[in-house]
Amino acid sequence: MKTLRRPWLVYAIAFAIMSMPLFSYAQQQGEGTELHEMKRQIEILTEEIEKLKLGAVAEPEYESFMGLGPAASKVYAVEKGLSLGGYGEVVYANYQESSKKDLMDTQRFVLYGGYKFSDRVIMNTELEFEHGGKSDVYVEFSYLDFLLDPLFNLRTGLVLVPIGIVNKYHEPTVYHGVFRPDVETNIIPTTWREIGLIIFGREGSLSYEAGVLNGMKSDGFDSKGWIRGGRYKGIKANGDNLALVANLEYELLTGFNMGGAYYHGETGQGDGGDEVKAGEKEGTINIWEVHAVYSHRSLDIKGLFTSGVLDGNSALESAPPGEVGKEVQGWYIEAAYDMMYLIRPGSVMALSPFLRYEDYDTHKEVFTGVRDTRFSRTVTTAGLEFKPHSNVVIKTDYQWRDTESGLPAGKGTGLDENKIDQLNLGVGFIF
Amino acid sequence: MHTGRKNNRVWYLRLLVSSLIFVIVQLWTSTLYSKVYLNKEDALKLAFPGLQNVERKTLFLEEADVKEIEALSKVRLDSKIFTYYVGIGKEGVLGYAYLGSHIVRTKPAVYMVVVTPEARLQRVEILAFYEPEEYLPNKRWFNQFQGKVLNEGLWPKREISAVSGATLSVNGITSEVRKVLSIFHLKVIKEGVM
Repeated sequence: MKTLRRPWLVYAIAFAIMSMPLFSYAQQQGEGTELHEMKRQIEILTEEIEKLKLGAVAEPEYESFMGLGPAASKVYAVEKGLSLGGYGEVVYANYQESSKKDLMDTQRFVLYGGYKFSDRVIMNTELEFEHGGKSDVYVEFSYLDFLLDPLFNLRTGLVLVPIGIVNKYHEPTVYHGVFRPDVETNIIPTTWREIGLIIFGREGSLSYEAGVLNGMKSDGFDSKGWIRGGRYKGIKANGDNLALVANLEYELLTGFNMGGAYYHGETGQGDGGDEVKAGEKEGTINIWEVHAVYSHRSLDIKGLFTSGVLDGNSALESAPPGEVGKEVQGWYIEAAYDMMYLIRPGSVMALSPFLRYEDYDTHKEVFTGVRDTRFSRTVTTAGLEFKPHSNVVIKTDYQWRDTESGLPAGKGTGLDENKIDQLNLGVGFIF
Repeated sequence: MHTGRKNNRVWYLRLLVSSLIFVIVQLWTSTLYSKVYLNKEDALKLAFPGLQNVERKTLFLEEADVKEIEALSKVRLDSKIFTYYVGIGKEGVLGYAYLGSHIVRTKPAVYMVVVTPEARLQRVEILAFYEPEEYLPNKRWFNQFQGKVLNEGLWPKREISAVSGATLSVNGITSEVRKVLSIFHLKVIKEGVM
């Protein structure tokens, strides 16, 4: 038998062959760990992405102490601080009488800025440029909200008076028609804002707002818009006169809301800081209103009834005939139907024909002389609005205007301006 | 008349001062009220009450999936990652939950959508809302989603009511719900009701 010359070589090869499966097992082991590690990393990544999406909600415990919300500040795009927005509307009114010039107007452009100091302290401001901003630049509102409890919160600064439907939601994409309803312009003077303190809260289907505000300015009252010209709009209001307002809203069914408000305020003359003079026009204003809003599927129905009384001292009540009315009253009803689902189901665009009927009188009762029947008005508005996006609206409507007077329609002496029909066009947006 | 007014003013001032004192006390003591209503843990407890076994899963969608989901939901999809939770009981899957967020006007809302194993909506819940609360529809509005399925009626002004002054929230939440339902329907449940 021939002896192997290099037996160690055979052993080495045999060992190498035998250990091969072991080797590949170890390699597989290594790959398995790597795969496991990758899965673990993907899991962590998806968790992190979820955290980014959910923000403070993803935190195991949300703590907030003295405005130092530790979790909220981590959220993407929800850091405390500034938020910007705004709305605007441009209108064209084509009067159907040649005695009145047609109107093209940048009715308003409003810039909104809010600043969140903490979860419970928030500032809201709207800067308004009216009629192109040539002369009318206003702070539309500017207030601080102290959010304390769903039932009880405070708002103070230049605030919106909580009355009616349009005053609170006055953006052009919310109300139908190129112009706001007359009743909520000449009786409830939207956009009505004054300086004061409002408490507000919500419990289930019931919400309330109540507060103390500065009163009105008798110098600005007139027969056409009643107390509209008496708004201080936060400009040097006379702090000697105050007003109280309370508003209740109740949701009867989903989409069916009812509400009402009562305003009781003092009115005086001049601005805050002026000298008090004898014989100033002083008085009190009482306004109440009830309203209902019903939305079901494509149908939108709104209605409002309001009544107001002005009482005053002899200086106010001895106003010459034809001036501001003592009692006013008005109501309107409006229906709109969004037909877009028939044309493009599932679209967020809207195409709504609407119809509104208004009946109001700013001379229901007068202090001296006889009522001016030109101020007992009815307005029928029929129109169409198209929203290519929920924040953009293109509107058109026709308004048939009539009054109790026997005068012919037209602007000028011996004519009745409130009888002039008009065709309106408008665009509006909110962002 | 003037004395009466001065008297009134004293009352108004008293009201003002007492309100301010109330605010200060409240700011010092209350810790409950904030824009975050529920955290994830509590939301999942609400979705699957009493269940210990809740699994977290993630779908990585492909381009074709995105197209299919968008075609069904008629809503644009903004992410290919879909993380959801499965509630598992003794008899198998009891439901699915998805937590997500979207921008309302300029600020986000965080929500949860819970569906049954048949892809029927069980609840839609707002977990956090960073816009002014006036833009948030109330509880009753959210209850409308219960029992609804993905179909042509699931749009605002159809089976879902519109809310005056909260249009952006109403449109946004409804779109999100449609999107989530579509993903569950096509990619998770596959045999759900429509």
